[in-house]
Amino acid sequence: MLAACAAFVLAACSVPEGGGSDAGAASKAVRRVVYFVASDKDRETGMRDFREFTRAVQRAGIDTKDVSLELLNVVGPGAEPARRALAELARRPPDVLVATSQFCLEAVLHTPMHVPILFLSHPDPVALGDVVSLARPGVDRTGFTFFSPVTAKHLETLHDGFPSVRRVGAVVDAYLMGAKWFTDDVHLAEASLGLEVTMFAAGNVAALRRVLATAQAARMDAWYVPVSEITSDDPDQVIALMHALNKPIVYSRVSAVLKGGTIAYEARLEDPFGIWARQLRLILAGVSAASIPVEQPQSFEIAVNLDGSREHRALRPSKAILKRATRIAGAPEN
Amino acid sequence: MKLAGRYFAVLSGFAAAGFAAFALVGVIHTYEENEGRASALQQDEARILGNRIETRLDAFERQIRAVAELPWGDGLLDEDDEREEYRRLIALNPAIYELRTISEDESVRVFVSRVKLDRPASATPPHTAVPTLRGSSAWYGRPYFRNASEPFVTLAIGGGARARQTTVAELDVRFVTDVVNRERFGSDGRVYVVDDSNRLLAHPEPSFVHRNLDLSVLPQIQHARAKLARTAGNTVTVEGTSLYSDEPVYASAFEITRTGWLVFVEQPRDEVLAPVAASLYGMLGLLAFILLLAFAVSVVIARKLARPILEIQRAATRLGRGDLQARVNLGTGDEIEVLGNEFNRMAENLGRSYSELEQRVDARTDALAKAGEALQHQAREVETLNEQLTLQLTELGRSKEEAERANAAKSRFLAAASHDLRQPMHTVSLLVGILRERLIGRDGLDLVDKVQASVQSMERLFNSLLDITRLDADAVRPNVSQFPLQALFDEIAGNYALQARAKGLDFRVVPTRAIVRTDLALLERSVGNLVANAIRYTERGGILLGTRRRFGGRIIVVVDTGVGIPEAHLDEIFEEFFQIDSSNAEQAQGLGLGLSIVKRTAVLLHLPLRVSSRPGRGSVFEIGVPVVGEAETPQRGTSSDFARTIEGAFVVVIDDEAENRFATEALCRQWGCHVVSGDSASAALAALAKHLRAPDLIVTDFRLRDGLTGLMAIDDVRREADARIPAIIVSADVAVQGIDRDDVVVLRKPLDPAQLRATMSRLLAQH
Repeated sequence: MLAACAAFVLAACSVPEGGGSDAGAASKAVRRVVYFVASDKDRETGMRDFREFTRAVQRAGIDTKDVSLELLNVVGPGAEPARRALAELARRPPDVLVATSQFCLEAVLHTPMHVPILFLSHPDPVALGDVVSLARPGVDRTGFTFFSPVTAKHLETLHDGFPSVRRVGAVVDAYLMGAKWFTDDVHLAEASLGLEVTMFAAGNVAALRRVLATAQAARMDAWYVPVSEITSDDPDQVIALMHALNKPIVYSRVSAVLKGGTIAYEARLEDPFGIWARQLRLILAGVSAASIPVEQPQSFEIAVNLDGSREHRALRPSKAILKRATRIAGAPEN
Repeated sequence: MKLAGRYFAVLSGFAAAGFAAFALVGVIHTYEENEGRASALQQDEARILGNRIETRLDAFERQIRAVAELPWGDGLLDEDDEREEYRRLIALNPAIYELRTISEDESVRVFVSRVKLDRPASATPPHTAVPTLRGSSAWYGRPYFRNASEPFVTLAIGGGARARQTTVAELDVRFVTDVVNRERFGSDGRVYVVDDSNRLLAHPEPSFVHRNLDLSVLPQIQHARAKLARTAGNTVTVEGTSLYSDEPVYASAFEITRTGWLVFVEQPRDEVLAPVAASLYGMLGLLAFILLLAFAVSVVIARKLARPILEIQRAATRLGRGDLQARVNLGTGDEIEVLGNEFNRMAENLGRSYSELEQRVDARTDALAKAGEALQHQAREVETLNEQLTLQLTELGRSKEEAERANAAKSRFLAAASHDLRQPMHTVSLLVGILRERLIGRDGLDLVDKVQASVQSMERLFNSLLDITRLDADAVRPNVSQFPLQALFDEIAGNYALQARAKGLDFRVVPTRAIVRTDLALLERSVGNLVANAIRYTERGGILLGTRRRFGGRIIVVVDTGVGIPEAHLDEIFEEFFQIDSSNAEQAQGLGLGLSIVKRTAVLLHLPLRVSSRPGRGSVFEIGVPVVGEAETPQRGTSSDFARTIEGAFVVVIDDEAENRFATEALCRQWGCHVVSGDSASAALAALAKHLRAPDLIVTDFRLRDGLTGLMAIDDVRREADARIPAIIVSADVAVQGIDRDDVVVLRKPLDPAQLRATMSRLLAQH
């Protein structure tokens, strides 16, 4: 049935980049799928995600007797370790490569190796030029993106939760500082909600610590922490530093609220490993990755943490946001 | 064991036929039962899923309607309240993506979104224009794909009686996929949903949905739409092909009437019919067992019956190989033992007959040996005769070749000699013509007339001999063209009418409109010979020249009232030099070549020639001609219609033979013409240069000196005079007949002065 699905999809879609491999012949040979992780700290996260991915592949009905799942877990500072590992991989390229971060994707794209790629991205992959469109990537790669243009919605959530807030500090990285969609949304929120948003650039924890110690940061009524390089690399430290400010903070990940953050509005992507597994199944059946749509967030969640709301009145959220919250963490102290 | 095979065939045939009939009934019954059951199960499943989707839609409508019908316009609730209600709805229903309130003036009053700011200013227009709704009715738009990959649908609810506004919700259709994904039908069955324009809305494989696929081409969708349009219910079962391949499927569809969406539950036909196949395989297995049993029974029966028969067969084989002592001893006591006894009797009789036959064969062999010796003797004699005949045939072949060579030499001699003889004959003819016109005394004229008659007779003789020679020498090549037959008739009439009248005969030509396609000159000569012959052999009455229609073509007829031809000579008259005995001096004058020329010309042109005659009553000669059309009116020739005096005409004569040139020049001067002459075109042009007047006519020999021809001379004179001057070529050369130019007239030597004058007169009149 899988081959039949592939035949149908091949018939229904054009294959721009030679993706029409022979599904019948391919189904007999053992295919190599490499799960590529690059980190400068630990191997554990990559190994844990790989196990999740393996389970999702089995759930998707891919016969693991015909597919060899391999983990390429690169640990080390900078791009050099990843570059060396990929150069070695290019000598015997896999049939499919899973690039588990934007960094991994860019490293693979700089390697002379032409294989179908499954990727994830936090920024908009169309704006980055990684794909032509979400519905039809147009190049031999697909995957999913966490990107959803909800910056204004984050600030609106902060405003609804804490109506007295006027001055908001935003912790951003170099990419967000230059992203027009981000700054446009920020300006829209400022104009519509009466907020004054100040950008604080911080590429790592030390930098964040420095900017939070400034007098300008001290004048902020509340903070906005969107997904950036620093929140991806050191989420726990970022949350701890921000929590110490005792000011309302809106995050773009619910997980931050579960770890002590104040409030979050997240465009969620359900079962990302399952998405990769389904897409892998189609690619192994002969469908070109260029014709498999990139999936995007499907559900939206508002999370509120009530810890400390009694001790600090400024951290007590409004009734309106509590009524809309889809997840409540902690409990108000009696 | 052939007998066993036959028994097996009969037994197994009956068994298989009976069993096949039984199996067929069983399979048909199983097929119908399975098809009906599969259809019912599919329809139930489609209905259940459709109802679940409808329940979800009902829930959306109910919840949104509950908010929409609140007393928004009474001043009790404001826009903030409405926004909070919408936010609550969105929080409770993940499928609701956006909500907005559209006022009576079509402005957005309240807007709540999952990705945009909850401000009316953030609202973009709905994907589909929302109609004005009465009461609190619901309206669904056509599904659309947000970001080109995610299906959404617009749901609008009227504000009810109290509020004149519309609440519009954008619903994420993924909730339909959730309903579909939960179900699995059979082992390879699948469930999917298409919208009212047959686009895939929900499918277990999300990538398919994201592609925004149009499935209108699938036959099950077309059939289901057509069938639902005809029936009152909203569930149907149809056949189609798989979404993935050409595999046939059974599909049942349930229509969600409020949206026009179809919920499909389909299964591969192989899966539906699997019980039928199992039943069929079982039947086939049973059939194989029955056939095996039939075979075993056949072998047992056949062995029992076959033993005595095989003994008879072995004895018959020995008998056939020449063992006439072969006998059988069966002792079965039944009909086969009787058969064995009969076999033994037959063998005894056969032995006796064989002895008698051997004696007869010996006698016959002796007789045949004697006959063979006689035949060998005769063969030797025949061989001797054959050798003699071969020698004679070789001799005959050699004689024939010599005769053919002699005949060819004769033809070449005549062809060459006739050319050389023509030149002096031509000169004599012209000079006699001059002499006749200069003589005044009666006696002298009679003498010249006799000389002229002799010359003309000699000319005819030469011409005939020349024609025969050319035809025999295969030197004549037909020059086929289209021409009106009447022109030929006019030419004949001009040449022979006077001759006929001088003899007191009536000469009549019946006009014709036929346009024929053949060689004009050869046909004219043939018909002329027939007419001349008719005049010669007719003393009273007349000659008629005309045509008859026959078999779609046309036949030229020459009818005379002459002496006729005896039937015994009808075939001989076409042979050379054949003449019917006659006491008439004129009739005796001919050489007997005219009809021979006619016959050979007809053969050359592939024209049928026929003659019929009654002695004392006359003859009819017929020549068939191919007709290509008809002129509107009989086209008369021009040759005899013009009679202009040639007196005063300015004539150029060119001939390299001084005698001929002198005779032609003298003759023309005698007729009152002004003449300049020369032995070549250049000489004639030099003489012409002394005259201011352009020449009226050119008369030239064909073959001039230095390889020049009369045609070149004519072209030179015409070019110098810058005028298309009429021209006559006079030549004894056979090849001149092949000139394919219609701007010159060719006359053959020896030339009758009267013919030259008539031709000159005609050309001058036409010019």
